[in-house]
Amino acid sequence: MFQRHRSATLFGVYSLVSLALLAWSANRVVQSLKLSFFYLWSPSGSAVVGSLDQWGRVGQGFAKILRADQRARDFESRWVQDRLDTARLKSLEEENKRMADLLGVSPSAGFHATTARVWARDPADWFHSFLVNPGTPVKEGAAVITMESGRPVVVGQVREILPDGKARILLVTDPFSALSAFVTRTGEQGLVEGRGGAKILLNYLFSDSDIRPGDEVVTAGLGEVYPPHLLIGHVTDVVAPLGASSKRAVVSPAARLGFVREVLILSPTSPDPGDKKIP
Amino acid sequence: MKRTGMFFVLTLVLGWIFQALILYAVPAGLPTPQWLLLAVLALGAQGRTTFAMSAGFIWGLALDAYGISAFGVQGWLLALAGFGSGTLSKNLNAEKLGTQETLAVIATLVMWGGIRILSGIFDHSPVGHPSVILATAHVALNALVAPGVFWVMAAWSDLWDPRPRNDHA
Repeated sequence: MFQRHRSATLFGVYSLVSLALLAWSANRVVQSLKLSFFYLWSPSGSAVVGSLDQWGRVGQGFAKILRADQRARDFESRWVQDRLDTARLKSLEEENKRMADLLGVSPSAGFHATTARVWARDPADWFHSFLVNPGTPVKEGAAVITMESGRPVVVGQVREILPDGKARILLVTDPFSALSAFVTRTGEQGLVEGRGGAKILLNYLFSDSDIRPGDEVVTAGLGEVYPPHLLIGHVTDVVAPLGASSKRAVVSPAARLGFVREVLILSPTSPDPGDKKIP
Repeated sequence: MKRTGMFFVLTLVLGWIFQALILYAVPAGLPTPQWLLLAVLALGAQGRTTFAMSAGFIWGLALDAYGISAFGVQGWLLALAGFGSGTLSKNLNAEKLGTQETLAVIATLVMWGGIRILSGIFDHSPVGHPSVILATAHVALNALVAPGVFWVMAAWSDLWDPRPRNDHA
């Protein structure tokens, strides 16, 4: 009898069990049974899913190795290029020294950089100066630069060293700030002066100057305070007063002075006392 | 007997692993074919009523334990699917495409209706009640893959327990 109706009987049993589980679904025994069922089935599914995850991680690791290999190749090629550049630079420096000796002029000063963090700003003096905390002692008059998009740009100059070693930086926007500059495109030289606002002025340009908005203004390197070719800013406007003998250009500083957090202070290195100068 | 037991356990485990793989591969929220329901139907249609019903009951409880439906809902519905297809197997030719599609569509609709009714009675939480859109997607997907599942289950069963073809239908 049971054999004949085995399927129906078994289905009845399953139905009763299901009904009991549903009727007493809030019961602790049913909840425990559900959890037991969950954990009973976990190993079979999670083993495979875990293996897939493992394979996925292998793939990610392989991709990382490929990327690392690519980077290593890039660095290697850059390193070789740097080696060549260094050799070329050394050769040029030696040649420069020989030429300077022959002509009897002193060689250009070198610079060493000290990093410093902006320590404080004075709200009453926002466009004029800020205080920095240099890691090593610096001298008054040293140039201060920062990096913008991977390029060194002028920030200002060390104006004052405080007794606790902090330095007050006079920004290029300060009216007392002045530095020699030239326009990259034309080579024309002028003097960049602060105006106390966000923009600065490039003064003393000849009246027939071809300067245009967008032109790049860089340091001329005169006076050995700033190294040459440091970006100061870009021309935004050209002012040519009627009948005046010179032109002026309004320059927007390349350094975002309101955002500067770290700076480099460039101190000139002393020339080698052993250098001979031909009279 | 031992061979049958091994067949049953392996079917259960492999079916569940396949289900876990599908859930792992398909982004959450996307409908997938109800593989286990189709497998139960295929086993039942071979005349293995007890086997299909028991596998369906255990798979269903596992789905309930892992899902959000009340514990016992899918267990009973999959057991019902196994019982139904097994009981009808003598009057069906499970190798015919039309039979497979009809079984898949009817079982999907019964499953959807059953979950809604049983959840409405026993589970008053607002989640876990499949929508009409999801049911439609399940009907379409199940109908699409049903011939493949029936074929795989037939091959798998023959591997363990070859049986003469069912000529009546």
